[in-house]
Amino acid sequence: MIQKCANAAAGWLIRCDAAAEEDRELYAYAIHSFLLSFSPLLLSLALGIGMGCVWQSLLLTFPFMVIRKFSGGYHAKHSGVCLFSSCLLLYLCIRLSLSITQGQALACIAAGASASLIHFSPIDNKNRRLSTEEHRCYKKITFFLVAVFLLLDILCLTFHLDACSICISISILLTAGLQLPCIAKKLLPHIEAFQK
Amino acid sequence: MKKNLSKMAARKITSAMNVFLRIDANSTSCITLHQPKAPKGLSKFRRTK
Repeated sequence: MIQKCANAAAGWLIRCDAAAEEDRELYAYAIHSFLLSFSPLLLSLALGIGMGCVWQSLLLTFPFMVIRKFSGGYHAKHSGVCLFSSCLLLYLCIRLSLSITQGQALACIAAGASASLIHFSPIDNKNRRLSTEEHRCYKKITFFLVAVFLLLDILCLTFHLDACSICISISILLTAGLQLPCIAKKLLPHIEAFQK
Repeated sequence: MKKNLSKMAARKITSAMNVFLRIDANSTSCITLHQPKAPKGLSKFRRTK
């Protein structure tokens, strides 16, 4: 459905002479990608309003969006599955952030997840392959972003802002967790070969 | 008047989409759990050729 809307919008841009006919595919992709990219923010805002915790849900979504843009990870084949699973994951993460009260243990786990993120990122997708240069560049950006958010997490803990620290920790864990299916897929053949 | 307004809105959206394409072309993937197939034209927005 999102794809159909994106195609219709790209057609309208062409009819208004704002885009060239040969760029139809490009602008349809841009609109599709734009709608998908801002859906977590809108979903978390809606969930936050519904659950009465707007700032926690936004604080949880923002680091996830920023890090995942460069770290990459698991991607579903269809946008419908993507929207449903995003909604479910965000809901579970918000519920988790509301039920945890102590941030120290979670921050330690987030530090481990950060190490995994730095080591395995970026993970590209068959729909968008990265060149060696891009791979090197995005690895550095992921390292920088993860370090900034982890530092922010520790600062929040130091100043007894446990609720903020919990949101950032869960956000890092979610980003690292969404890389696990890809890491497992990459490592399984090596483990099987080692066992033989 | 309505047509001009529509054309102006379309031009603004195209400019916004160009900025978005530049950001998208210079990152690993889409934020959400679905990555649409990147068109060939996206490479012209990349900083690294």
